[in-house]
Amino acid sequence: MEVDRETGATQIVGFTAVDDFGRVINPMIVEGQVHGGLAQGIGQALTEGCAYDDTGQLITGSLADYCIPRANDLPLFKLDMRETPCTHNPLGVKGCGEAGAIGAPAAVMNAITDALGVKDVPMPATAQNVWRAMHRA
Amino acid sequence: MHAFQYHRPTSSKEAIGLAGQKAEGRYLAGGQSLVQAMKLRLSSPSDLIDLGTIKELAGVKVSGSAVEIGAMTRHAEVAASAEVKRAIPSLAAMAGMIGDRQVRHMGTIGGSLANNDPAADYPAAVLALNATVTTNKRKIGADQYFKGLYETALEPSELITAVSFQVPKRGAYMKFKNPASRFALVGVFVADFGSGNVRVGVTGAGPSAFRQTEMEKALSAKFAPEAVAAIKVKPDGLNNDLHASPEYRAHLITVMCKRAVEQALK
Repeated sequence: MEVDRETGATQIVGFTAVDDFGRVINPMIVEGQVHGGLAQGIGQALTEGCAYDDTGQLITGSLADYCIPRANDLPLFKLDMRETPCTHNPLGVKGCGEAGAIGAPAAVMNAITDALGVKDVPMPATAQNVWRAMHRA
Repeated sequence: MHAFQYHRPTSSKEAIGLAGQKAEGRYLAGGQSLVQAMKLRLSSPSDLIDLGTIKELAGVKVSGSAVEIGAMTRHAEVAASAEVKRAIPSLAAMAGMIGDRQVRHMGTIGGSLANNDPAADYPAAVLALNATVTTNKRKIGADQYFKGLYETALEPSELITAVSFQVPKRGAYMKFKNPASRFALVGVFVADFGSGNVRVGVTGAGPSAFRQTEMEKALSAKFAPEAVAAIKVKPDGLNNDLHASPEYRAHLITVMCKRAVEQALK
């Protein structure tokens, strides 16, 4: 991760994910699933958050306010797999639907706290939240 | 969306005539804000007067020290215009940063300025490049045009026909985008006209675009990033919303201004 010291804006410059999905029959669609999961996890870490006003009205009700990451917000992912066949089903397969979303938020948040030398940055780590964390430190 | 009558005049005279008859009517320029507001039922005009086929309202004319852009010129056309790129490259670059590709191919300069969204990009350019907004009735100077949140000097049914920008010696626009909407969280347009005449237009930060006179003064004395780097903008009166606090916006004005000057000097 790189952090712009002046604005708090972050950029992911490299991302590697290694998963064990048991036996993989079609690696291409599995990688596609991982890409989607990573985007979801990175979105949770950096941009996505629901906000409500004092009367309980959702104020992130459209995609102009609720920010899902788009292709140009994401790096090219480096993926690798280890195949340990599952012993509980005849195909030896494991689930991979949202695997990318499990590790990604923690990896991104740890990269940010490491870059800033702080213990805590609230999620989503928007530029403003990162800027505030820098100025608290 | 509520029902409305749709009109497609072929001349601005016909459009203005229609607008005069329909008290609850609205001009439809690029429709990038109005149509969304109608879909959300935040706006329900009785009549839409589509300006899309009025040829006389679109196009770019460069004459000596000014670039005149017709009100119905799309952002993508301004961004790609060889004439604009040659005369005011910073203006073409700014148009290329508006919204996304789809928005740039529909949205128009006249629509953007008539709407005066607090986070729209063009208002910063209009202020920094000391533009003149021409309507069917009069010419309005940049400093007289913006009146407040979504408010302008335009009267009901008054139609913007063109916007004329003064050509600076150098200039640049720096925008810190709201990552979701790609509107400006803060955008700063800096224009240096030479002999100590520098104008700084700020958008996204306040209820309506404004000039940052303290920075103009500093840059007039010395057109360099360090002239503004230490200026602390007061957060009083700046926008406070889900995306940014007044303090963060105030800070971004300084950073974006500094970066705009760096870019202008390249």
